[in-house]
Amino acid sequence: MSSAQLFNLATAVYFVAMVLLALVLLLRNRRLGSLAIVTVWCGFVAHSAAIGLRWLESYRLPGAIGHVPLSNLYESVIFFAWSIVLIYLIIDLRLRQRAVGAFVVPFALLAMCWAQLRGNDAIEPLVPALQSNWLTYHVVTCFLGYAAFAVGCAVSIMYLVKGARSASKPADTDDLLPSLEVLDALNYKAIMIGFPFLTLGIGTGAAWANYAWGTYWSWDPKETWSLIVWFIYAAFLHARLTRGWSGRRAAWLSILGFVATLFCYLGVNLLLSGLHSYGGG
Amino acid sequence: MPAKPRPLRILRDFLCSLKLTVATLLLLAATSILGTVIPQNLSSLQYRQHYGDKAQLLQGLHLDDMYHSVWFLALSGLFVINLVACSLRRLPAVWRSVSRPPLVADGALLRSLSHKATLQAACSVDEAAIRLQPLLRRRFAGPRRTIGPEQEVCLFAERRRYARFGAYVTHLAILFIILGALIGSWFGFDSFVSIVEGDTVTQLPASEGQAPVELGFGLRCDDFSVSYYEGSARPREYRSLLTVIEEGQEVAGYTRVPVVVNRPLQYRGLTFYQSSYGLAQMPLFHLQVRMPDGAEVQMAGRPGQLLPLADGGSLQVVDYTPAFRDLGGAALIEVLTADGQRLPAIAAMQELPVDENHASPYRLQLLRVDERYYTGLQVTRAPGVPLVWLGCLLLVLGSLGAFSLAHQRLWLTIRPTAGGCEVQMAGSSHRNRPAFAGTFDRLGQELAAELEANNHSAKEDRS
Repeated sequence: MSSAQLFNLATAVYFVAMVLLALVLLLRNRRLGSLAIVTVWCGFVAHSAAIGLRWLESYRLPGAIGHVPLSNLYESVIFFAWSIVLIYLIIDLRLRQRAVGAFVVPFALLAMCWAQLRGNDAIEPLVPALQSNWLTYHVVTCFLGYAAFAVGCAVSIMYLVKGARSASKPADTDDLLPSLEVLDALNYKAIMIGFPFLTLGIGTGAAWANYAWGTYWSWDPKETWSLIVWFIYAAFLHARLTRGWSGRRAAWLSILGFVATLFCYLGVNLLLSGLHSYGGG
Repeated sequence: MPAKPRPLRILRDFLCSLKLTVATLLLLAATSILGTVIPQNLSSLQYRQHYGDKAQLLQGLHLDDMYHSVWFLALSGLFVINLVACSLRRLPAVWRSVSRPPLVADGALLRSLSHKATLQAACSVDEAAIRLQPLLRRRFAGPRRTIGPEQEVCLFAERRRYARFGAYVTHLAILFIILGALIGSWFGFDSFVSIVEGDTVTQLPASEGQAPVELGFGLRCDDFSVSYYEGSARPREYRSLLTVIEEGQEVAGYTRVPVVVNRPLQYRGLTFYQSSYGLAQMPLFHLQVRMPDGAEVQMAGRPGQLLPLADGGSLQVVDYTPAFRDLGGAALIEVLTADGQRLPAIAAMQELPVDENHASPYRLQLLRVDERYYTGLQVTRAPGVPLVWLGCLLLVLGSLGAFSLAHQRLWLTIRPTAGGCEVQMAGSSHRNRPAFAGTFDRLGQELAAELEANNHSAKEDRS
C-alpha cells in the first residue's frame, strides 16, 4: 500500500466520521457519539501511518533525497489536518465534548480534500535553504499552533450558532451542544494551547533564518503575517482580562484570528511574494 | 499618600489600562498589513511606475519603509510603555500576595473564595492539626501553622506560587527581544562580500556613504561549487571552501572550511553565510577539432572570441549548457567555413550522434570548461542576537507557565466545638478553577477520612 492510498483512506474515514458526528447532533443520540469518535481515531491512525510511510518512501527514492514530509504545500496541508485532529482528540480525551467534533472534523476533512485534489504529491528533493533540522522544529510548532487556532475557530462558530439558536428558541436546551460557558472556556483553552506554539514557531523560524541567511527578522510578508496573527491572539488573551470581552466578542476575535492565520499560511504564499515561496508549490 | 493632580492620574490610568493594550495590539496588527501589501524599500521611480500619482502620498506616509517609519515606531513605543506601566503597576501587589500570603482566612477572604467545605471531627483541635499536617504535606504542600485571633489553629499551604509571574516573564521577554534588536541596530552591521575563487579579501565593501570595513584578517575562497540532484536542474548544495589568514599564515582549524547554506562560518565575532554565487569571468572552453583532412587540433577560447582554423575557417562559442540531453555539458558553436558559410554546431563532452553536426566540415568535441566562480557571502556582526534568543525562550516558557500553571492555595481553620473540633477548608486557584475543584474535593475526602480514622482510633482508645 502506498502513502497516497493511505491518505485517501484517511480522508474517506474522516468523511464517515463527519457524517456520524452530524448524525449525533441531528438524532441527539449520545451512543452514536462513541462510534463517531472511534471512527475519528481510525482516520487519525491511518493518517499518521500515511505520513510515516511517505517519510519512508522518500528515503527509498534514488539520489538520497529523503526528508521529513513537511517541505511543501501538499505536505504541510496534510500535516495541518493531522494537527487539527490531534488537538481535537486531546481535548476530547480530557473534556469528552463529542459535539465539538462535528465542527472541528470538517476543517481537517476540508484540508485533506484540498490536498488530494489540488496538491502536488510528488516527493521532491530539498533545495539547500531547506536542508536543516530547523525545518522540522519550525513547521511542527507552527502547525500545532495553527491547528489549535482552527479548533478555537470551530468552537467559536459553535458558540455563535448556539447563541443565535438559544436566542430564538430558548426552550431548546438539550441539543447536545456544550453550554455557552463551556464553549467560551474551550475557545480560550484552544488559544492558550496555540499561542505558546505560535510563539515557538516564530522563534524557531527566526533562529533558522538567522542561521541560513544571517538575519532573524527581515519584515518578509510571511514573518510579518505571523506577527499579525500573534498580535491578534495576544489581544484576545488580554481582552479576556477586561470586562465584557468574553462570549460573543471573544468568539468573533477568535474567528478573526483564524482568518489571519489562514492568510498567513496560504494567502501569503499564493498572493504575496517572499522568502517562503517554496511553500507555494 | 497625597492625591496626584488629575491630569497626571488620567495619563497614568490611560497608560496602565488593558483597553490600551488590546487597542495597540489590534492597531499594530492592522497597520502591519500595509507593509506586506505595499512592496518595501523600492526606489522613487519604481513607486511612480507602480502607483502613479499616489506614489507621493505613499512616500509621504513612509509606507515605502513603514516598519522603520516614525509613526510605526511610535505605535510600538506606546505598546512598550503600556507593557512596562501595566507590569510595574500590578507587580507589587502580586509580589506582596506571594511573599506575604494571608496565613489566616478571615471573613472577607473567605467570602471571596469559591471552594469551601467544613468537616467535623471528634478529636481535639491540636490532634486534628497534628494529623492533618503530614497529610497536607504529602498530598498538597507543606502547611504553615499559625494561631488566629480567636485562638483557632490556622494551616496555610500553597503550591506553584511562581505561576503568578508567568505573564510578567513574557513581558520581560518582550523587552529583552526589543533591547536585543536595538543593540543589533546600534552596534551590529551586515554586509555582503564576493570573493573570486583563489582570491583573498581583507575588507568588506563600503555601504552607502561610509568607509569600507577592515576585517582585521584575510578570508580566501579556495573553491566554490554547485551540485545538482541526479537527473534534475534542482540544486543540491552551494559550497564554498574558505580559509582564514592571519598575518600571512593560514589559521589552524580555519583552512578550507566548507560553508554551505545553513552552515555558516564564524570567526572573531563575524559570521559568513553562503548567500549567492556567479561566474567571475567568461568560462574558457577547451575544444578538440578534427579538420576535414583528418588532422586534429586543440584550442581554447571564451564566448564571443573568434578562433581561427588552419584552413581559413573559424569557430566561435555562442552558448553553453551544463546538461545537454543526457550527453553532459555541451557548447553551441558558430562555425564559419573557409568559403564563408555560417553554420551552428554542437560540441559536447560525449560523442554526438552523427546527424547532429552533418553540415559542419569539422568534427567538434568539448574537452572541458574552465569556470571561475565567485562566492557571495552575507557577513554579519549581531551582538544583540543572544539577548533575542533569551527573550524568545522566556517568552515561550512564560506563556506556557502563564497558561498551564496555577497558583493554588488552601486554608484550614480548626476550631473547638462541643463534640471535638470543626475544620473549615477553603481554597483558591488563580486559574483553571474546574480542575482545582476536583483537587479540592479529593483533598476534602482525604482529610475527612484521616479525621474519621482518628475518630475510630480515639473511640477504640476509650472503649
